[in-house]
Amino acid sequence: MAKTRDDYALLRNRIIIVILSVYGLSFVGFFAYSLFTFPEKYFLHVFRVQWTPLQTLVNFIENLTPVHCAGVLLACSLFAPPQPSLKTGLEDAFTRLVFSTVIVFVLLGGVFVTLSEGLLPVLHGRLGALENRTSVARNYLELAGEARREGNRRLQNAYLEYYLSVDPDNSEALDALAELRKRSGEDAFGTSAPAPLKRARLMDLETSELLGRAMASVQEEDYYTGYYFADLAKALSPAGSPEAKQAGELAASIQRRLASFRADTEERERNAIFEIKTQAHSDLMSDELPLVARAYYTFRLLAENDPDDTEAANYLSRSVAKLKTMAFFRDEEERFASMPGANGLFFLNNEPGADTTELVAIGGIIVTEDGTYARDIEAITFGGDGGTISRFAASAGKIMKDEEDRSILYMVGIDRTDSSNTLLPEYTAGEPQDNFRIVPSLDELELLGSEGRDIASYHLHRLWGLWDILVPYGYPGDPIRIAALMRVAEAFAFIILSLLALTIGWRLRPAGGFPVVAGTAGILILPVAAYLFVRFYDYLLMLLVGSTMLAWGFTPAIIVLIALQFALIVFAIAALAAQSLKSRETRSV
Amino acid sequence: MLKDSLLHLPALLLIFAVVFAVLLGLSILASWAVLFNPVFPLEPGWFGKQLSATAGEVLIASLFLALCVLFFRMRKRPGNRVLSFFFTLAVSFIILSAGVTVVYGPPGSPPPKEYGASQPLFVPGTIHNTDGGLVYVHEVNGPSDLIGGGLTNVVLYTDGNLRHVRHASVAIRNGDGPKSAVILPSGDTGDPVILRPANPVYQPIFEPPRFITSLVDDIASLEGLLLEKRTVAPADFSLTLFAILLTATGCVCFSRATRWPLFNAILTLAVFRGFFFMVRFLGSDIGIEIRSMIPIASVREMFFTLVFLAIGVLLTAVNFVFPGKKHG
Repeated sequence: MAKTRDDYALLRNRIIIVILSVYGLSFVGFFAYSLFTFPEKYFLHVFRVQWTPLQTLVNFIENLTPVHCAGVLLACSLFAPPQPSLKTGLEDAFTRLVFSTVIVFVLLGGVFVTLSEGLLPVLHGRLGALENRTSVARNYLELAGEARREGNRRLQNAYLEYYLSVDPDNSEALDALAELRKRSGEDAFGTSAPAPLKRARLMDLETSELLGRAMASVQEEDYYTGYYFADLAKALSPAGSPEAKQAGELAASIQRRLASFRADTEERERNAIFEIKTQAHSDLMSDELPLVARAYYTFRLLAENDPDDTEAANYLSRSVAKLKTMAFFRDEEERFASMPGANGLFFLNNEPGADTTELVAIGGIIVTEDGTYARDIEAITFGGDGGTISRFAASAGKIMKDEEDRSILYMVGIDRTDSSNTLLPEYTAGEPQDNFRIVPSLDELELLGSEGRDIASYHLHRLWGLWDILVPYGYPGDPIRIAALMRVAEAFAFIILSLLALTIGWRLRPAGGFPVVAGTAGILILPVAAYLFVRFYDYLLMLLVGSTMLAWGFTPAIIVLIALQFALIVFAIAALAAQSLKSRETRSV
Repeated sequence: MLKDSLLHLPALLLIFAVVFAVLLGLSILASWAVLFNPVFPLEPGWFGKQLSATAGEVLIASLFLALCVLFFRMRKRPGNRVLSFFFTLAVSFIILSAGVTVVYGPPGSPPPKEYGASQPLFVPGTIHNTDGGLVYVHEVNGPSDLIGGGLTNVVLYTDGNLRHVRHASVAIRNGDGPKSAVILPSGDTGDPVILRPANPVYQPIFEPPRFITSLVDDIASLEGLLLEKRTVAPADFSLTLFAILLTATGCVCFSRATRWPLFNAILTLAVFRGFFFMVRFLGSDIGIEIRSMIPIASVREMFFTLVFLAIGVLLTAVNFVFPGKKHG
């Protein structure tokens, strides 16, 4: 009995030591592999320090099943204690060990699931983000080169700064920037971003307050501001209400008051400005983007000419606010351009019930507190007969919600100072529009990018729901569901293959101690063999479960998956039990 | 002793039958899955054609795998080693000869044409993910092969650029690795677009690991070589088949190469893999170059057979000279 206990402890300790050693060595191996295989093609060199440990962990977790199986095979086969005599307690020790080992394998399976479902998607997501940032940064470096060839120094400077915000030590970009600044002078670019304008929130005021402000302005002889508040109060009051009447009378009295000034020369100038303001005000009231933009430029000019003109400042503020509901300011989009976001969005943008088919491609979206900006937008719409209804491209846009809470992509970019520098979508077919509806929600949009479509970066519970999100936008759902099923199978595979490795390893252990030549070769070959076997097992399972899903649907596939896993677990346990029984029989002989 | 040797024969037949049935089923399932298109069902009679095409492909693989399993029986119950060896060789020869005759007809028959189902690759109204970018196909008007295959409103999103092709046809390209497809725009509307994989929705899901596709390719080249010999010179075919099976049966010596059975099993499988790799090597440019250096024409013609015959004889000699210990 004492001998059995010794053998049990010996066997248990060897298994633990060998498996942990294989784990450790494989981790070191994966680290070394990552260290020497950094893919410069997909990642900036600056990301190497982040990439190496991330990739090491990814490789380790993704190959944990073959690593574990190799460890079990080596532990139970090559490093199993020698069997000097059938009368030793070694066989009994194995029998005793089986139960505790199965428990340990189940626990390790739990650890594996935690790592593969908890950590692995996060690691994939981070690697995807690094790749994404590399792609965007390199794109800007190329654009900087293009801007240089075109002689556009301002853009070249901006693009280089974007690039350097990601890769600050890149000598090529630093040299290019230094050369550019040497040639042009740093101040010429105005590198600091313009301060955000104070938003007008006058629409939120009560009518009585607007009337109060109008009267206060009149008392201060600021008739234009007074007129503005009175007019606004009139517009916001219910027709026929006392407030509307009072506001109308006040506006009329201010107009009469202003009219009485016309005789005066000074007042004539003010009157001229008033006419301009009136026209600009009228433009501002319009729902047409060009008129609102014109109002913005007018009020901006007035505010610049007379910084004390609070009325112009107020109208400017209001025009900015209104413009922001219909277009975007180009400097905003440029300011956020270097920020990370979803890239390579491509999706079907069909409104429910529409008989047309619209495909939208967006180079990238950036979600900020200020809104969601898009770049490199292209779209094409087919009619029911397959003919092209519209096709357009816009270099940038901003996605905003309309009154019905639908996402609208506005493609007109307003330059804050230069009215001739407005960014417009280019239509090659169809009637030009300033905006179009984006059917996916903002959350869904991020999933339609190249990173969002990367199934490996999803936790299982999110992957399960991804089908409902991607399929309406044109992506096939079967790969997602099959991937989800295989994720479930992975957890079982760890336990099943561990048990089989335990059985095979013990059954085929060497006779008479450690074989030096074969053992040394086996230490090197066995992990490779385990890797190939696990990949083959995964493939077979994928084939069976995937084919079932294609042929009969999702529910039968789940049933087949569970049945298969159950059968395999039963088989693995039976094989192990048979081995254990055989050991006992051998012992009894 | 004799009983054990004789029992190897039904054992080999039984193992072969099981392995053949499993491999055949899996191969057909894999072919079906890769060709699957939810909108277009496979052409009528696909299963029958695929069955006969696949049966020939899995014959050799099944026999080799069956031999590998049998070797471990032979290791435990060797019986009369000489009889066991030659019984196994004879049964293997009969299995392959008979199998090839059943699948491909009597000796001298022309090699079968490669069967490729004419199946639309794209799912209409779906975005397909390929190595070259994302591809949307609005309508699929027919099978995607060199003969027909029409696509309407193909939209490609590649490297941030959207490209629209109103009408296009599709051609399948065979080559190393997964098949690829070429979208050929109608008229002069732009350059062809290469897509890999050819079936972008289901091929990536069911793509076997590289080591399996590589093995399948090597086995296919051995099968092609044998069928070619069978058509031109049935006697040469028999000799080549004998040489190959002599080598394969001779590999039994690896199953008892060391006193570690697990290592022996892996070694035997690795040797079998190396065997198929050698077939590829002999058919490669270097192999052809080596063959061309042989001055005697008849030896040059039989180079492949002689190489395997030599290896087979060597392994057989090793098998008999180093019988090893009986293992329980």
